[in-house]
Formats: sequence, structure tokens, C-alpha cells
Amino acid sequence: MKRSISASGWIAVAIVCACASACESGFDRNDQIVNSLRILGAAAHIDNGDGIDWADAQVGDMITLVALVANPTGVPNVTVTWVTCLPSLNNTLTPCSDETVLRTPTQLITMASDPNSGVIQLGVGETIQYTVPQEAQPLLDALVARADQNVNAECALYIEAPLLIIAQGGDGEVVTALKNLRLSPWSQTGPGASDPALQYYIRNANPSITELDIPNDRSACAPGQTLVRACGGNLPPCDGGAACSPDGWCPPAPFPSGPQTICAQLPDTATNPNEVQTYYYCGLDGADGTEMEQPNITWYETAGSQGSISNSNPTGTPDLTSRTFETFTRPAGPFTLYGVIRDGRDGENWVAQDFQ
Amino acid sequence: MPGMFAMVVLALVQAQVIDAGAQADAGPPADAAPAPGEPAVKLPALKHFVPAVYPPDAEAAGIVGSVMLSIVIDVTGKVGEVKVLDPGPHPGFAPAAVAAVKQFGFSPAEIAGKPAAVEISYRYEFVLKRAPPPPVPKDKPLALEGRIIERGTRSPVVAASIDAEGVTAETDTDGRFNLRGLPVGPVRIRVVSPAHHDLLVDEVIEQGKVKEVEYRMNRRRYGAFEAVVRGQRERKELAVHEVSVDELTTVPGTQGDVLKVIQDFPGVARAPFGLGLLIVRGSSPQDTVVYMDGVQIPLLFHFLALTAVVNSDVISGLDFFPGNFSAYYGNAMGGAVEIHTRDPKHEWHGAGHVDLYDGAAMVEGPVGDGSFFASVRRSWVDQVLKAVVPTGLTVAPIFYDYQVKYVHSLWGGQGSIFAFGSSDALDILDQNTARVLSFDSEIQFHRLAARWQRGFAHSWRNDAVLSFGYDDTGTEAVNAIKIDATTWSANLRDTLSYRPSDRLTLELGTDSSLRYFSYDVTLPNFGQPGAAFGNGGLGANPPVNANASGGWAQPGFFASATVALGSRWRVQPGLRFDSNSRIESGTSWWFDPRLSVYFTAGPKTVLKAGVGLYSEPPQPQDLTVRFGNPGLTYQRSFQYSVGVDQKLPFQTDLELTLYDKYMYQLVTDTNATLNGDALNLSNLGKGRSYGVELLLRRQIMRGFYGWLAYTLSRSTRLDDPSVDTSGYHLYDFDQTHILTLIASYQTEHNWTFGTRLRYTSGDPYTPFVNGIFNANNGSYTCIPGNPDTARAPAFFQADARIDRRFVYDRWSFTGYLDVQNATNRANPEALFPNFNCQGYSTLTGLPIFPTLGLRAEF
Repeated sequence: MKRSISASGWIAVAIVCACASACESGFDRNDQIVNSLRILGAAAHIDNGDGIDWADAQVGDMITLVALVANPTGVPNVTVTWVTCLPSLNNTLTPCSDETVLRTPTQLITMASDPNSGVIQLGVGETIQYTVPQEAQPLLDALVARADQNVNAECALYIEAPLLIIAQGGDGEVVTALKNLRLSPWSQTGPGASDPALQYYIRNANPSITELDIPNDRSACAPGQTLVRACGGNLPPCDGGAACSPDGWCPPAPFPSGPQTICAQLPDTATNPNEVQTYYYCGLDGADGTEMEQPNITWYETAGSQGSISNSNPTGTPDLTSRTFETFTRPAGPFTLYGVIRDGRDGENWVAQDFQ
Repeated sequence: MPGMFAMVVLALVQAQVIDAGAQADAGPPADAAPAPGEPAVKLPALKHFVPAVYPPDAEAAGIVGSVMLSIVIDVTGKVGEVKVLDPGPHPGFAPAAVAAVKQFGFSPAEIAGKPAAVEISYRYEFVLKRAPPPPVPKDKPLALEGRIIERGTRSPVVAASIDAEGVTAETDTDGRFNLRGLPVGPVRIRVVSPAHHDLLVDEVIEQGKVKEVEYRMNRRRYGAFEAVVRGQRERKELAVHEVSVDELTTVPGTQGDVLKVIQDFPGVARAPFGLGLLIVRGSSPQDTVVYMDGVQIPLLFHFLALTAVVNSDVISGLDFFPGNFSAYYGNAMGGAVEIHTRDPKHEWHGAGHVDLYDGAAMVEGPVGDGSFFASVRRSWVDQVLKAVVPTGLTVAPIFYDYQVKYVHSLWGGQGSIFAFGSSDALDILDQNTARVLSFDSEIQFHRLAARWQRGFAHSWRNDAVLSFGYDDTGTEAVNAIKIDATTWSANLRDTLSYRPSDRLTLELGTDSSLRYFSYDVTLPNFGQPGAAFGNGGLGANPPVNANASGGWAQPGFFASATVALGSRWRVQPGLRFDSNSRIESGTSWWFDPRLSVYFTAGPKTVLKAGVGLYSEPPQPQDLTVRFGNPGLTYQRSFQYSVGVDQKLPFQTDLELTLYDKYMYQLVTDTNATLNGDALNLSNLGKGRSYGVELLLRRQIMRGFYGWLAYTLSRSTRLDDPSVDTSGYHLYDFDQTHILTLIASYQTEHNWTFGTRLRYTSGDPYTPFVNGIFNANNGSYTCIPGNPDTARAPAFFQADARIDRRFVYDRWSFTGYLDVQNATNRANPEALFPNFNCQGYSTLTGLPIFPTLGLRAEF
């Protein structure tokens, strides 16, 4: 039932004010200790042969979709199914967004067998590949037309196609995640675009992590002790000639006991400008501006105890040596550490490392 | 007791008519023009007096004292029922007083120019007195003249009895008196006023000289506890809760704010966080209209309902109609509130107060032949919050309000100019996440009203209010929301009444307005209702902007009649016509017929019933293309109720009302589309609210007042079928049980102790049945189940208040301690899901919260 703006607005304000002093009480989120089947991340990778890990796709692009599924309790026979619904620009409610359908998300899998349902099953598995079909082209064309007509739309030349990732365990447990797949007419946009209305959209690339450290000083991520670092490609080989793992990581160092601060190193933007991108935003007053991505890292562990989490990244500066820090005390036994990096523009990546 | 004889001193105890809140001892004379917004009150005057017989044994024993009586005076001035409220110190006093009073004759009281039955309180003093000297010729020389005023307030003491060596007099409406023929030499002056402590003064009278004096009397109980006349104005409303300022300024938990007490009446649900939203009989807050002296105002409370937008110092009373109100009010399906401001006094007075949130000052006095008051309030709660909110977070609410009124006789009647307004600004900024949490909002309104009231030829009366208004709302938040809306309005409310006989009253009036609006709104595209992820999210669908300007007319007319059928039946049919030119596609006009019937079943019992249609247009923003649906039409409700008013012993009244309200054509969200475009809103919502309300109220008497209000109710809604198909569900603010108990007592030493207890059922909420991990930001999106199928825990709060008033000759000073949630109960105000929507955490409301306030007046 509709509620007036004023009524709901005041309630929201009251909550904000009350939270200023009281929200901490009773809010044990405990969301970063993973003790059950969970999906912790999902990323779309598009390789256009230029060595950049793109997150945006357009018609004809082959996308590699990867889900980060944590299964610390060993739920048997976990099946990961990817489904989507073609988005529209006229606000039509699709099954993938319909709350009544999402009360039981497995309905989507059933619905996908009906070609008239509007639900499409993209594949099964933690990693799948999918090519954006030609049917999406009218939607991208509509974005271009909208940008030509509406200055507020010039910075929003993309569609976020909702992908539903449904992980079903053999014991009946079901967990679901949403991944927005960003579709954009990227080949027509950017500073070099001939249409001025299309110059304000910068194609997004996925961020990445190159190293996990235990720094000596929380004011910077280094120097300190390296826990694990990426390898392969143009990166230096692993120390002592150790082998680089298939997912591109050197063997980890032992994780020290006691409370430790961990942080993540990102690539140097001087040589990798697409890692932390500068993009345009369209202000409400019609004025445009530039904004730098503020990558955010979420930490998850399968055991141990977490302490404080802080983000000392200076606002608006590409200080790549100062990222999200977490204080963590390892358990006595083995555990898995996850660091998921998100750039706020549907770009995502992660490191998942087992420690003994 | 040789040489003495018994004398009966009579004093009419009359201070106010409850529905108007006017104080006779400080108000206009009985035949004065009525105050704007108040019924014209003419108090009954004693025409035939019969002295009581002093009980011989009491006289012999020298016993003096007084008897407190309650007397019903009918519309002809005859004395009806006489009740003994306080028998006094001797068992013979009460029978003697009752026997005498039953032989009295009065001129009838008048309210709004019409004779009215009233119930008054009477104090009958039994005083032993020296045998009177021979009658004093009228040409005896004037020996003593003066004025009697009240300490602290400097208000004139009206109808006080003065006795000096057997020479007696009574003060007039200005507190003045004179005594002739006093013996030369020392004399003892005794002054008796029922609302004040007796005063004894020794004077020396000199031959050939006139002594001028000014005496100050101490009121028995200051402030809240005036002795009162319980006038029953002719009822036009089936259920009306009338309150006077004096009753309300000491209600615990309100910090002396009169208007907050509305929320303590039956039929009013408690708003979350005590926000002050008026949720009346299951209607939405915007379905209740608020008027002040006939001028509609858009909001009743400042930021977070810390205080009302009107200073209580300028309010004389208010009427609250929870439903089935007369045709006088329109464009409202919920309730109606009418605030009455008082007339300024014609002598200089002032008042000021400070508390934790704000400070206010009021001054009044004469300007030429007229009089004025001016009041202003300014908050400093922003400075208080700075001390309690975490570093880095700025929460800065700033509000002010003002009221200026000038009253003058005009064209044989009374004219007034009234300007008032209010402004609230709120800034919230988290310096660490300025782009995530920044909120800047301001809402203000200003009104200028001219009013003229006059009676014609005894049977006609006209009351006209012409007002102009300016409303402005501005909000900017998180770089995604921007609202700037302005409305100019011109409003005319005119009521012409004709009363050819006691059995018939006709009223005809208009309640019309012209409005000009402009708005510039930018809002995120939230997607369709029922969409979990906003169909693409904020980035994919940029904020939607809409701006427009234009005008619309809202003419309204009403007619009603009050017809007495025999001595027991009274019927009040009414018809209201309203139109709204902003409704372009749907039906833009409507008729609302209404009927109320009263049956006097006995001297203490009135049965009542009412039925009617109540309609209102959609909110202006609901008719916009971008955010609403221009095809909407008006919303409507069918209301009926039955009830009983029963007088009980100990000055207690019982009101019991059963109501049922069926709402249809409600504006509600829709997923429907027209030519591929979202309609946003439809008129397919429905609702029903029904319940029983009980109000047991003890009027102010001997320092004590209180009430018990209880509501048992159920309110439901049916959504647009494209949004929800689960059928009727509970309304968001449905509260099965709403119970309020208020009690307050003032000693004769000006201490006041009070408590308020409140219990309500928890609000319904929509439970989450699933949580979907949003890989785009690392949080969970909670998936709701069927709407409002769970209920939050109940709410209970105990408030307490202590006042102490210090009275000096020319001014008084009051300090109070108001403790909200005295038991420090952790009441749940909002539920938040845990990280994966599998459980809830509770946000609790106000902890124990003492407020210290200071007030001074002269």
C-alpha cells in the first residue's frame, strides 16, 4: 500500500538519527565468517584480446561467468545454475526481479523450460560461458537514443542484466545470488566517440588483487610480510622456483597466529590504467564530473575470528598502497581466506587461498 | 453567638467552557463578541436568588465553610439536576445549599448566540457575619474603591465578594469594586473568590477621603486547575474530543505541548518513533486535515514531533474529530483537527519558556482599541545533537515558528488579522561517506488570514476567513534525490448560519481554494513495485526528472441543518460538494451526504449514530505523469458509527463509540501499463477499518484530572491486483489495542504530579522469506513474503512529570521535570534483518529521557 513521501521520509530520518547512537546495539552481522554453503562473489570476464579483463559486454561478446562458491561444510552434490531474464527499458517486471518468484528461486529453473516465460537458463556450473545474443541489440540501441535525449542518461549507457546464480545442494539447501551483467554499446562509447552524448560512458574493466600482505604499519599496505601473491603473465615468477597455481597464485606463506592485519595490494595504475578507472558521472543539476573508482574489498574466512575492519583509502586518490584492512585471528586448524574486490561499477574479482 | 447572624455568600464558580477553553475570569465579558474560532459564550446570569438557611447548630457552633455543587441549567435558565461535589464541614450545609439553589433562576447560557444547556460548578459559602447595619443609602459617600487581580498572572478577579464592616460589593469583569458608607477608622476587608484563597486586609478610612487600593489574591491552584464551567455546546459532531489548554499543559510526556495530546485520544494509533503522524481510525496520515482558526495547515509538528508548530501560549483549545464529522470539513477521509487560538488580552502580558529543544517567547497587549499577541519559537536541538551524535556525522535540525494576531472590532462584529508560519530544516551528513549519506531538507509554510465575525438580527450569523498561504518543500539526498515544490494558495471559508428557532439551525458555507504550484523533482528510478532489484538498478536507469507549474481550483460548499424533534431527538443532515480541477481524467467532483442522529435517553445518557461519505482528492504528486498517474480520481470512504455518551458519578464522563469505515478508490501502487508505459498508481486500492473506542474522562475537579482511552480496532488494505494477489492484509499501522491512561494532580501549593501510561500492539510488518546475495555489492537483498503478515512486539511506555509553580506579585515562574519512558523499557521501533535475512535485530526507541523546562509569565 502506498505511503506518503512525507510519512516514510520522516520515518527514514528517524531511523537515521536513532542509528546514529543506537544501531550498533544488537547488530551482530557475523556475515564474514563463512560456516555454511554460500555464494561470495560472481564475476563476468570478457576477453577482447587486448589483455584487459573487461566487465562490460555487448552483442556478440563471449562472457566467462564465474561464481565464487564457498562450501566449508562439504554439502554434497552442489549444482550451480545460471538463469537470467532479458531486461527491458519500460519498467516491465521480469520474473528475475519479481519478489513473488524470488521467494522460491528454483522456480526460475523450472520456468526456463518454458520459452514463453521470459526466463533463460545460461548454463550450469561454477564457471560457464555465454555469448550475448543478437536479441539484446534493440536494448542497447535504446540506450543510445535515450542518451541523445536525456543529459542525465549520458553517463548511464548500460543495462544491468540480472543473472541469478542458484546453488542447490544435494541435501536440499538452496542459496541464491544476483550478479548484474553490464551490457553496454562499448564500441560506440568513450572519449573518442563521434556522438558527444556517448563520450561520457567509459567501459568498465574488472579490478584485481596482486598480493595479500601483513603490513608492519596499518597506514600503508607495505612493507610487511607477503602472504600470497599473483603470478603468471607479466608478473614475476614465484620465489624459489615454486609453481604458479592454475588460478594464478604462488604458494602461500604460513599465516601467523595471533591477531594479524591483512591487506591487499592492487596493480600499479601507472602501468594498468584500467584497474582503477576514472569515469564520468552526471549530476542532478546537469553538470558532469569525473569520479575515480573506489575499489572495496570484502574479507571472508571459513574459521577464525575477525576484529576491526577499516578502509583507510584516501577519498578521491589512487593510493593503491592503502586499501581495506582487516584484523583477523586465525584458527588452530586450516582455513580459507577470501578477498573479494568490487569497483562499484559491476566489476569484480577475488582471491581465495587455503592456509594450513 | 449573640449579635451575629448567618449570612450566605454565593459565588458562581465559572472559568471556562471546555470546548472553547475561554476563561471567564480572564476572558471577555459575557456579551462580548465571540473570539475567532471559538463559540460565542455567554455565561448564565443569576436572576432569582434564594438564600440558604444556615443550620442552627452550625451557627451556634460558629462553623463556617463552603459547599461545592454542580448545577445543570437548561436552555430556559431553569435549574435542573444539582449534585453535591463537596458537602463542606457540616452535614447541614449541603441540604441547605441544594434546597436554596433549586429555587434559583438564571438567564440561559448562550453559545454561538444560541441558548444552551450548561452544567456549572457552584461554591456556596456559609459565613458567620455580624448583623448588618441599617441599609446604606445610595448617596452614601464613596470610601474605598479598587481593583482585585490575581497574583502572578495579574488577571482581574471577577465576581469576588467584598465585605467590609457589613458593606458588601462584588467585582466586575475588570475586577473593580467600590464601597460606600464605610465607618471612619480601621476596617477589616474580607474578599472571597471561589477560585482563590480568601483575602483579609486591614485599612484605615479617613473622613472625606476616598481610599484607592489594589489587592492581589492567590489562586488556589494555578495553571491547569481552574474551576470550570462544563458547558455542553450543541453537538454537530458524532465523536469529538474537546480539550482546553489548561487541561493539557501538564500532561506527562508532552513537555507542555498542547497538540501532542491528540495522540493520547482513542482512535489514534501510535506513530513509529513518536513521530506525530496522525493515524486516525486506520487512515493514512495524509487523510487527516488540520485547521487553525479555519485555515488549513500542512503539518502539525516540527522535526521528529519534538514540538508542535504552534506555541501553546496562544492556543485556547482544540477539537479533534476522529470520524463521522459534519459537512463543515471536507477533503479528508481520516480525522479533522481544529486548533483555536485565543484572543489577545487588552493589557500587557508575556510568557517565555526554554527546554532542551527550543525556546519561545510571547508578548501581548493593547494597540489602540484592539489588542495583539506575537509569539516566536526557535530550536537549538541541533546544538544538543552535536554533543551526542558520533564524530563525523552531522545531524542538524533547525526549526522555528511564529504567530502574530491582531483583534479589533469591525463593522459591528469582530475582525482579526492572523499571520503564522513554520520552518523546519534538516541536514544530515556523514563526512566519511558524503556521497552515500547526505540529506538536506527544508519544509516551511506561511499563512496570512483575515477573519470577520458578526451576528445579524439575532437569528443570523456570519463567519468569514480569507487566507493566503505559501508552502515550500525542498529535499536533496545522496546526489540522487532532489525535490523542490512550492504552492501558493488563496482560501475562503465562510459560514452563514440561521437559527429561526430553538428547534432549527441552518448552515450554509463555502470552503474553497485556488492554488498555484511549481515543482522540480528528480528521483531515482526505483523500478516497479514488487521488483527485488529495481529492474536494472540505479545506474542503468538514471534519475527521473519532472518539472511543471500550473494552477488548480478546489471549490467546496456545504450545507447542514440541526433539527430538534421533540425533546429527545435531534437530527443533523448535511451535504458537502467538493471539486478539484487538478483531476483531469477521472471524475473531478463529488457529493458527500452525511447524517447524524442524537437521542437523549435520559438526563445522563445520549445515544448517537452517524453515517456519511467522506472523500478526498489524490495528493498533488500522485497526479504527475512521471511519478503518479494523471488519470486518478478521488478517493472515498463510507463511514458509520454508533455510540453513547454517559455521565457517571464523580465528574466522570464515558464515551463509547463503535465505528466502521470502508475505503475504496484508494490510490495505490500498480504494475499496470498503458501503451507500454508504467501507470505507477491506480485507484484500485481498498481498505476497511472498524473498532470500538472508549474514553473515560474525569474532568478537572479539586486538582485532579485524568482519562482512560482505549481502542480495539482492525484496519486492512487491499492492494492493486497487479502488485499483490494475497487479498486483504493488515494496514501498516494497524494496532489492535491502543491504551492510554493519564492522571494528574495539583496541590494547593502549586506542585503538580502526573503520569501517562501507554500500551499499543506492535505494528504489522512484512516478514522476509528469503535472502539473495547481491554479488554486486556484497550485501543481501531480502525478499519479502505476503505483506504485513507479522507483527512487531508491543509498545509500553510510562511517563512522569513534576511541576512547581512559584507565584510572585507581578509574574510567575514554573519549572518542570518531564521524564519520558521512566521505566527505561526498550521498546522496539523498527526491525532490521540480519545479514542474510534469516533473522532480525531490533532498533529500540527512546531510552529514559528526562527533560527540564523553565517557564515564566507576567
